[in-house]
Amino acid sequence: MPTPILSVSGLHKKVHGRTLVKDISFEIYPGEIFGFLGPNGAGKTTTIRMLVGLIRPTSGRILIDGHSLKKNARHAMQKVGCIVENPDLYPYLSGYENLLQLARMQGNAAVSRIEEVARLVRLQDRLHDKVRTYSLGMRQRLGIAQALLNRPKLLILDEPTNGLDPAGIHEMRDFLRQLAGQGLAIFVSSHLLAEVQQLCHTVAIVQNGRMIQAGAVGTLLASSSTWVDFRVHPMETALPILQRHTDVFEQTENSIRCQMADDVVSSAVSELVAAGCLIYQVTRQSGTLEEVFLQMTGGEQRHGFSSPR
Amino acid sequence: MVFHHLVSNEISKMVRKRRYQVVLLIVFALVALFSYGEQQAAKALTQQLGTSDWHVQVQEEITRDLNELQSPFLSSGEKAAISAAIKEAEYELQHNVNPNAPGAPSFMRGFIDDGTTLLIPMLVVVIASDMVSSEMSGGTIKMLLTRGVSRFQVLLGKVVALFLLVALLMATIAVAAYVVSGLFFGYQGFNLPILFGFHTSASGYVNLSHVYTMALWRYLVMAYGLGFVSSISVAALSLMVSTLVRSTASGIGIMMAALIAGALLANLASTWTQAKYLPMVNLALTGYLNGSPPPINGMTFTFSLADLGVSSLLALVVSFVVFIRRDMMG
Repeated sequence: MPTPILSVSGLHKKVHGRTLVKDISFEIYPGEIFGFLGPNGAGKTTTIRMLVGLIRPTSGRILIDGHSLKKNARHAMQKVGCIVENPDLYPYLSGYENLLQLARMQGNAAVSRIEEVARLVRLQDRLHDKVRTYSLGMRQRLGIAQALLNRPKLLILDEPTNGLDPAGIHEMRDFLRQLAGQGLAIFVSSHLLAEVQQLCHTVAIVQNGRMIQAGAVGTLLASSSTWVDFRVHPMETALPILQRHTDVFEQTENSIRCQMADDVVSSAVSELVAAGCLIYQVTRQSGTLEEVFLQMTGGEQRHGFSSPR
Repeated sequence: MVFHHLVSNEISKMVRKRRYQVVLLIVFALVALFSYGEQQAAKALTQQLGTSDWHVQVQEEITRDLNELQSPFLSSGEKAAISAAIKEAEYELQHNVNPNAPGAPSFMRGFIDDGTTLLIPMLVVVIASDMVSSEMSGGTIKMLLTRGVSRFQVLLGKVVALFLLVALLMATIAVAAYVVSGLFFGYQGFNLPILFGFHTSASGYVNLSHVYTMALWRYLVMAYGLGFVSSISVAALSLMVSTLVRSTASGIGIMMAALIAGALLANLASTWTQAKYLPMVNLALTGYLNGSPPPINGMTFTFSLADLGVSSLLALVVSFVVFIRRDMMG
């Protein structure tokens, strides 16, 4: 097992007696895109601000590439590139001057990388224009550029596709995948389920400052679905058997789709075998993150089909 | 990361802001305005008196002041200022030293003497109030504090840059006063003798035993130096306000109110002696050079200098503690 780039354990934040973030723990490994999913106001930005040292946690530990953020903030933050909330930069300076300002704080290596990161986010043509004249998408790209100046091992992005058009979103997704492919660990917060589902390998779902679910996206999706496809022969024999195990089913040309839990699936399969059916394939359908999310956050009333029977 | 990069970052940000450019522009505009006004006033005076002989003018000023002193409406502070002015003018007549010799250096002297209480501090406030609060309201503080540089160093960079910018402002004021007023009065007069060493008490009593003449340029070096010192303490106080409030506008408002209150107190509150501990009352350090009576009894040059030093230091300590400890919420 490789060592995690970011390791967070037992993170708490209390302000004026109100708990904003409670007991958040997770780890991110090199090459992993980690989604931090939750509705607005769930504590995502508070958590991010703690991860980058803008806010002091009430308790808990943050290790970045082995350095404690509390005890050795300088070394820890040298491994991090981040955008917190909006990519706020100096509007009265050009893109280049903004990057120069921020790079000079990180040393000569960062300064010599300015042109390179500008090309990487394809801003080289507008680099000497004032940021005031940039579109939101360009600012977002300049934000990414400044986050990459110090060759970080961990990228922390707060809603990185906010304000981008569909083409821009697509491009950003490809870009982040490419960075992860080079071994960067990427933390992405989002309130958009579809986005996390498409982009991230692992996900933590937060609500009211608490983590209510975490794991690999694929696993979560599979466990959330209650639909199972049976490809069996002959269908006429199988159908009454399956009907005894579930109320909800759909018949298609060469398979029967049923809604059932795992233990019911195994007993149904044994009955099918005993009845002499040929079983070609039994597959559980992937759900959507939206289903997982609604299950976890108690929204199942609105989606009766996904409630466990 | 080298520290001087932080300082040059801060300076290049401020110099690129319209705010700083406007302040420099105001300096030039005001100097031109005052030069013109002073020239017109001098012309009118010559016409009224029928002569441009300065002896006559100073004698007339003494007569006017003596009459004014009879007025029952004067506060004790105003009385003190007038009687000190009379004493000094008499001494100047006796020793044949023209206090109003025309020329750009004389204008520079008048500008710094009058500017240290309100005008120059206000310009400093406009610059300094922006240093921290603009990063907060613009959100750029997030970029600044997530680069692996300690908060102490970030703020120290700002403080050093601010002091350099204030020095640049003082230099601009000196140069603008010289160059622009020279167009009106000519550029001569750095070596004019001026009388120095009037020891004036708050009651208006002038001790003449230490008075001597000295070249005007030496006076200017001292006066602009002291102007820089009081501007630095205004800058330190504004910086503290800037770290405490998020909006630059309210920061400027608070500091302006404090400065104006200080100027009013200096004029009115000569009976409320506790007011002498307020830093805003102590800003007019050049007053101790030119023999104006101190606004409040018990104030001396050393007292004012110490008061400004202690309050600046306190302001900086508060700024650093707040800036380092504060949670940067959204």
